[in-house]
Amino acid sequence: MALLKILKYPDPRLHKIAEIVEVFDESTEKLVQDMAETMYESKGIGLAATQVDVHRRIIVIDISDDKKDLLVLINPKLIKFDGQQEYDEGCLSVPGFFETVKRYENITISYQDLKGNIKTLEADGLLSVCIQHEMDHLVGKVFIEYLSQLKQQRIKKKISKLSRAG
Amino acid sequence: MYKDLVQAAKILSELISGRKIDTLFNRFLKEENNKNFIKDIVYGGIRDFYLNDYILKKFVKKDINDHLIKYLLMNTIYQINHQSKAEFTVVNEAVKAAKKINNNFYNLVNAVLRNYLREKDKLVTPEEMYIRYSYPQWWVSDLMKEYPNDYEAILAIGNTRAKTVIRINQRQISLNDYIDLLEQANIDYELTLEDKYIQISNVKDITMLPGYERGHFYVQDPAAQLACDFLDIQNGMNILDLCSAPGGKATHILERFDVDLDCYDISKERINLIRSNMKRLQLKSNIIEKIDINKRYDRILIDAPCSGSGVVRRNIDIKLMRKQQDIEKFSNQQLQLLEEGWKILKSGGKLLYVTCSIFKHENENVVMKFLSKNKDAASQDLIIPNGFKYQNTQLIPNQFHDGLFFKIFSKN
Repeated sequence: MALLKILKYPDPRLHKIAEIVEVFDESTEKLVQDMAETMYESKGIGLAATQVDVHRRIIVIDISDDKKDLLVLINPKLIKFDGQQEYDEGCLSVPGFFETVKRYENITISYQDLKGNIKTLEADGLLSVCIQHEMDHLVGKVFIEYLSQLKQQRIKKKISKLSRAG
Repeated sequence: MYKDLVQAAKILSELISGRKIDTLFNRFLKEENNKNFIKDIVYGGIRDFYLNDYILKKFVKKDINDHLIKYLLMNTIYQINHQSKAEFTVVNEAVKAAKKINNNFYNLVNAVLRNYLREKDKLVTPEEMYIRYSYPQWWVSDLMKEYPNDYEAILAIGNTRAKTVIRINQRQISLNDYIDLLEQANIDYELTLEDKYIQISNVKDITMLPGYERGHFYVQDPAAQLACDFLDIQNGMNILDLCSAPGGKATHILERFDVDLDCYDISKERINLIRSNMKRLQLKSNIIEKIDINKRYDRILIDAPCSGSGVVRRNIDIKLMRKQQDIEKFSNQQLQLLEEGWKILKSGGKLLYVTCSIFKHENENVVMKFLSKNKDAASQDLIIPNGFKYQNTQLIPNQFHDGLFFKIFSKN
């Protein structure tokens, strides 16, 4: 197992589009283990492969308190959605910023597990938010892109100030 | 303390006899230590005037023939209902104030207020909207006709206190950089209407906000800030601002465009306000004393004098000052201004008509009359940005913006 380096916004690699996973082998399993470890270590509740500069459609999520409920979503597809909810989202690629984003309330997705078996999952509340947030990463979208131009500019400005301060 | 109540009753009385609120505050409050306390009572007394008059009639059998005593009672009802002070203190102070005003009435004041304290929780909310929200009756019947779905929200918003919205002078600083200054100064702000406007609550003194002296900002409601966009300006144009004072919209135009802008206002006094605002914002204005009827303009802005019914939350006194017959006077004046402007507009030019009224009589009706008289005038569509509440080109006042009316005419 190994910790992976998380790309930080505004790294352009966060905007790459991930490819479909076709091979379900040990290397995929190893990547998922490393992603999970990285997520837990960073105290996140979700991580997309894009964030660790691997551009394949893989997501790990664990919204449980005791961190024993790992969900691995490979090739996730949104098949049903309705309703609306707002949540103050954060992101391991944009550390320190929390902003309200509107998402679907209820979603149904299909995905594959580590063995390649096709499954479906219904989600609402935080899990639904988290899945939609991570699925956005796979198409190169970071949550702050939902914010107004002004708020995006302010976040970029603060990040560049922080990185200058070292 | 009780002296403040006497002052507040006097100010209310003078206001009702027709004097202007700012003049009265200047005259009565110059030497006062409790300016804000007195102002709060006066504003509250005005806001709830019709309601408190109705309440008072339930507790006083005969008409009170001393106006100041009557206003003292009404103001005190406001204090009981809306200030956080202990009720018995409020009543005791009011009785002391009554002794000072007219010794014959202090028993009555005492009895009425103590009765009110006992009974107030049993009083039912009045059915009539004009009493419940405390507006002139004609005003409310007008709104009910014109805004069958929104009138109650409109009445309610007029009774709230508007937050301060500032417009950033982009010749001096960017919105983004100005927000940094606010954050550094620990000033609470909120971005509204898709994060385009900065709204600040609890501004006691705008000169204390960062960059006031350097002209970083101007206080202006989001609705008023739309005028500049609606004018469809290009650099180099000749523009006339016909009712310019205090210069809010004129300064906005100059912050954004390099144009020849003539500012005119009928009030010579208020022209000084344009001068001082231009100076603070570091803009160069061309204030004209007379309109040159031989000159022709590409754009004309007519921000016409009006009832102010769309900005009650900023000018609560108009609830008392406006009379039904004023509306007719305003609409005649508005039509006349449009006619005057039209004569000096270039063909192919545009004229923007703006009021801060929500009465159809001053808006759509004036537009209809103007269009029927001027066959070379065509009204054009205006695109109102997302987030604003509106009905055609009438903005509906709400917590985020005032109730302005806009119409743009092009000349063929």
